[in-house]
Amino acid sequence: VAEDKPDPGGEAAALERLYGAYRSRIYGFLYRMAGTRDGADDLFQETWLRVARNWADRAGIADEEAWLFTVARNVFLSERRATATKLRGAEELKLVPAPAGRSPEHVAEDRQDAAALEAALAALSADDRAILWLVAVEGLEQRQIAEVLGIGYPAVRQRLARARERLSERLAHATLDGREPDPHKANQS
Amino acid sequence: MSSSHDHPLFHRLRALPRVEPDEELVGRVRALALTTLEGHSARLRPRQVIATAMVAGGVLAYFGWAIAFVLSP
Repeated sequence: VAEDKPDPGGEAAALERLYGAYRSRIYGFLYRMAGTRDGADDLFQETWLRVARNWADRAGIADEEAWLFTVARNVFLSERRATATKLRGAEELKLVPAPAGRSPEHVAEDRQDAAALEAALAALSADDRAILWLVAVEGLEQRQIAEVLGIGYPAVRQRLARARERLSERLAHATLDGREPDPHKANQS
Repeated sequence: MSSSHDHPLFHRLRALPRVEPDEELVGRVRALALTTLEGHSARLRPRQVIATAMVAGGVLAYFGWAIAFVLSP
């Protein structure tokens, strides 16, 4: 539809490039924030619409990666104010294909561990989930985290350490399907 | 923060299943974003035209006044 129209400034092409490069990462982040597919879908759409509406702001932005995650987080915060987000933790685990070369017992064990971690992550505050995800999975730098979370540069390490500690505590106290927690994995703080 | 990235808990977080948007959503959001971008650009154009016209009018008025001043007896 839109691609057939003239694009003199190359703006549509630039937006397409950004969308292609970041859509999966933004969706993964929003899924962890929302906790459900439906929630992530809505946030994903609103994030990219907000990016398009504020496209003119992009000219003055040095770090588009941090800008996009900031927009995504702000959309989540706005949405959360409007409706309380219900976290469902590990709803997608059943869709994950088994890794090749793993026995069914090991696969089941891996999935239980992943489910425990998903549940522990989902039980954290949105700020804790955001900082853990952005650092651990997205690999954002300290200055980028400070920008996305709207906090001072020195506070990032402290927030990260606390979030990690809280996740470790949640894991240590988690029992999944009556199973005792694995002390080796729970104490990795 | 490089040492923080190597924390064992972070390795476990990275190993969690990646959740991807489905194709239908990807296509729909792309089309919506591009349409929104185009709409915003279109709304900006009249404002840019008015601003340019005002500046050009000001310049013309200034030179007109200057020429009239020089040519006046």
